[in-house]
Amino acid sequence: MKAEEIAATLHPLEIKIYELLADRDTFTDAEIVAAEVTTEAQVRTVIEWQRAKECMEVTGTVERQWVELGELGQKYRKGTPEQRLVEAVRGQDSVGIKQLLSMEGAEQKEVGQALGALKKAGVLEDAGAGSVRLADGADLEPIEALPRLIKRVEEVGRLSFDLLSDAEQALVAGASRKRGKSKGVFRIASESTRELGFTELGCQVRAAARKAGRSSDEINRLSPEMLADGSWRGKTFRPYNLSIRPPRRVAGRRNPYREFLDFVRRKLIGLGFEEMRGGLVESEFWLMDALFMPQFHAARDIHDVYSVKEPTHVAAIEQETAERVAAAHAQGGETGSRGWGYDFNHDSSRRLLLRSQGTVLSARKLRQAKVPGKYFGIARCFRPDEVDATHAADFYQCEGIVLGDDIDFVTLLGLLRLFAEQVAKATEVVFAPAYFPFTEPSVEIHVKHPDLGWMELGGAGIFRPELTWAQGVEVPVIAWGLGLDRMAMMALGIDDIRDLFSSDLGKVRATNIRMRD
Amino acid sequence: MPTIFVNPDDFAELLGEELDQEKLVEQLALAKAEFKGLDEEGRYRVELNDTNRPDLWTAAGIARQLRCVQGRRRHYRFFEGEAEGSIEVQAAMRELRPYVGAFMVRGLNVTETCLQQIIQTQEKLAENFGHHRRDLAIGVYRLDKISFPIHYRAQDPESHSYVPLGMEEPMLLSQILKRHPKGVEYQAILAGKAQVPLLVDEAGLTLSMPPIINSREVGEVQPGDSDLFVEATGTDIFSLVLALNIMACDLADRGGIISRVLTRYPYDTPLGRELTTPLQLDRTLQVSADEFSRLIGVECTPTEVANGLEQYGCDVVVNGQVLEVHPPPTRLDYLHAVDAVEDYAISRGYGSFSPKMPQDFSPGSSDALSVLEDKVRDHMVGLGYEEIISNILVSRAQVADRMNMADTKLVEISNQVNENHAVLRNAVLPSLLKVETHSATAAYPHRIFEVGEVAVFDPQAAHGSRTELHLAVMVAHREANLSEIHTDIDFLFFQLNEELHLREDKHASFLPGRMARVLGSKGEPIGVLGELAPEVLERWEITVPVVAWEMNVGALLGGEL
Repeated sequence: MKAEEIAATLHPLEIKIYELLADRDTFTDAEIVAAEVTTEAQVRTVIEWQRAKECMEVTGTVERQWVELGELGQKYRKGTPEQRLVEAVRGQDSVGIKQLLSMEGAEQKEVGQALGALKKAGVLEDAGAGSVRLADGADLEPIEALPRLIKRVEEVGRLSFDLLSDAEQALVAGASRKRGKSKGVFRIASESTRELGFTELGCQVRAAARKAGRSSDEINRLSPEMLADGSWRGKTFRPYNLSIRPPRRVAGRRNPYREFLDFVRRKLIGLGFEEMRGGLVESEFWLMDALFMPQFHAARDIHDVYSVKEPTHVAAIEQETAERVAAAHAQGGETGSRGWGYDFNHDSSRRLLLRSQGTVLSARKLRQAKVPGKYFGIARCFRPDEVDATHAADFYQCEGIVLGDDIDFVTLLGLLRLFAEQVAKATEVVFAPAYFPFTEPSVEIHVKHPDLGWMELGGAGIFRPELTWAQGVEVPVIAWGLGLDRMAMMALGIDDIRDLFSSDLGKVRATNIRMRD
Repeated sequence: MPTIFVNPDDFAELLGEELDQEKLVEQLALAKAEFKGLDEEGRYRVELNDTNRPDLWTAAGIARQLRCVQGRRRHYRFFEGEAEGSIEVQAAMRELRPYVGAFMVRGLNVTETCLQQIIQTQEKLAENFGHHRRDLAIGVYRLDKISFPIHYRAQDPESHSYVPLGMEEPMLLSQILKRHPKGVEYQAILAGKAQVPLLVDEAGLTLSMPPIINSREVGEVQPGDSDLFVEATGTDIFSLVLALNIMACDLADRGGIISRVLTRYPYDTPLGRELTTPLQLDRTLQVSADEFSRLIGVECTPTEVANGLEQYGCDVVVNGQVLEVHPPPTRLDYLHAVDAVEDYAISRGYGSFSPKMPQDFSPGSSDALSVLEDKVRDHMVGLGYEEIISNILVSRAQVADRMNMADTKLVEISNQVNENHAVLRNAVLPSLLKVETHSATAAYPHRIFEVGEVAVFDPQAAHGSRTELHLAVMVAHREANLSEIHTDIDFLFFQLNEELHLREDKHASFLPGRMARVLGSKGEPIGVLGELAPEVLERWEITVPVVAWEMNVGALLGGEL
């Protein structure tokens, strides 16, 4: 980050400390603490921020001398003998020496010494009859300086010697014994401590902050009161710090998988497709017979489709349609086809099954479909696979039909390419031969999605004439399907198909769509 | 879709050239086959996508197709000529397992690989094409053991025995059905029959009990054998003939000399009372080249079409614009001109066509129910709910027992794979409670919803059930209470311009006194709203209070799906 950017996001405390150290190159924690701009804990926090931003660094260690109270100093916390003597005689004509010597809380010897010293210094003078009084015009400052310093040291525990004034330093020196000895008023302890300094970047930031007019009295939050009284005028506002990542919000939100399905739906409607919906339970007639899948076809096996326990059969299939479908199976109806050449079984047609593919919506639509017409459905389907990372108990199929007089194989390829461009934003497509029981010719399309890479997008074909004839449709019909699940998994960045229908709210919250619309 | 294993050396010999992997993948696409890698023995795994072309489910069949594409088509002579041996069919077989046919092959070099491939073909055809041997089963025997004619007859399973493959001692037919592994596997096909099919030769030697198991003496083919007898039995005579044709062509491609066998039926079959196999079935198509042009959308000349179809094994006679197409004896999938059109289009290469954009205008639109669904979803998101999407196929426990509604009638599956996927949900709320069970570690509060399909059991409905679109809403957190969702349902109804009517009621899933029915415009119940009963929460292992509501969204449209 550049110095200006860092300067723009400095915290008010950082600004305060920058102001304090406006012309310093090196400093110690203690110096900043001593300036009393904030608490010691905050000073340390700010220094850590600064070091993290590489504005400050440790430049070395300094020997520091601390002034602490010595044994005598502890004793003098309530006053030095000199001070107490002065207090005792202040405002009196004279006070008897005897009385002074027996002052409470002090040793006679000490008081005597102090008395002598004060007389010598001309603060006290004899007042006759064994008494003394305060001399006129006596300089009391030297007497008061010591207790004042004692009080200061007492308050904070210790003071940095270097930070004392010359007079104070002299006072300390005069009232201390040699280092380590405890008898004196003060004791001087020394300790080595880190020395900090601004880095080159730090100096630039300091200059930039000054240049940008940042100051410690800038405003954090504009209040209605400030607006009312205009006190915001002339103030600067603390810039917002973008570098701190906010907590992820929990909010009302569409499910990412449904959002993906919505995207596909929106695309298809935009391409002129009309939506189809249908039921979860279907008859074998509409699921398979109507799609010209022979009743002996392997895909009808009990292992490939779920059947319903109760009721097992639908009462009846509409007779005319059933007859035409039966004729198509048996001998091709009037299409010129041979048909499958077997006796159609109307009873198995009535079996009830769970919807196993989405093409059933198209099969049912054919009789009322408009020509030209385009239809799509996104249908939940069920197949008895053992559930694992690539097989779901239920899944969506997106399928549909296109009816028109001019439908042919190259138009089918055109439609698939349209899907490739619109749904998958494909930059490259490859068409390959495919097999579906109800279309001929059939094709599948592989596409290269710019975000997701190569994938099989779907398959399509032209409905067999036996199928369309049975539904009374006289134009060619394209049937198409898009493989959504794989694309959805890629778009959502998940590799287990079961997570599409996740019941783990944490997982749902952590999933988003990694694909441009 | 069948997957077969192909030995690379064997395949190279059948094809007449070696293909590198890239070329193999490319060529397999022409047979709608996918290369799926190598197995542990170094064989190709190949998946066949066209379930109507069993001729491709063998190494020899794929090689044959690729040779055709390269213009190296072979004509087989054994579809004509006299039969050498015969099978006599007993009248009782008509009801039991009506069709049988066979051929002989001599001079074959039966290697280990060759034998593996014969067994694989036999199994793939019987399993995938013959519905696990129900409609088609194939047997292969050592020809030199057999005295013709062979008899195909019904037999009382308690009064005949033979030594089946894999066993040492003779077993009664009934014992084979009960104890032999193949008997156990396939006995269902013969279940309930007083008699079972049997193939015996003129000398009384048992060949097999179709479709169960061969005899050890005649039916144990080994490497080093050269002369074989191949039979097929089944319920569909066309599938049977096709299977024999495929087997015969495969073995001919492997160097065998094929001889036909005559089967005499005492009853009518679609192919008469005398069936000589292998047999070229007449599948001739008369197609105009114009039909190719119209269906594909590009100009196709008769010569181009003829060349293309020859690549797919057809003989084509061109008469001006009209083509007489004779598909090869190994294919019965030419039902209509469209089947030939696809083969021709593949022979030209799908990549060679210029796609044409559909020109017709059609207005796109959402289904009315989907429009309403989207509105509801938008409002729920706006109210701060997170959307869920769940499985519809669920366990009975989820929608019944755990909801304290054990007796609910549901749409149940009769062939469930496991109990977790046994019923269609009749409500969405249990799906949301399942989410709550699994999400105790996700930050609270939990406000979730789902709009999804359910199936409601209804004997009056045509399919025995109604598919409905339901909205379910669930709130779970320490302070969750009914007024929260009452406020939200009120908001939703206002936005949908519907009047909200609630009626106090009782429901086993909800706390008494804290449950109401949501009513439709005619006063009919269309949903529920309430605080979940603690015993329900316990069954779901949910540890916070839960309030919820569910309603049939479609009811607001005034109609069914």
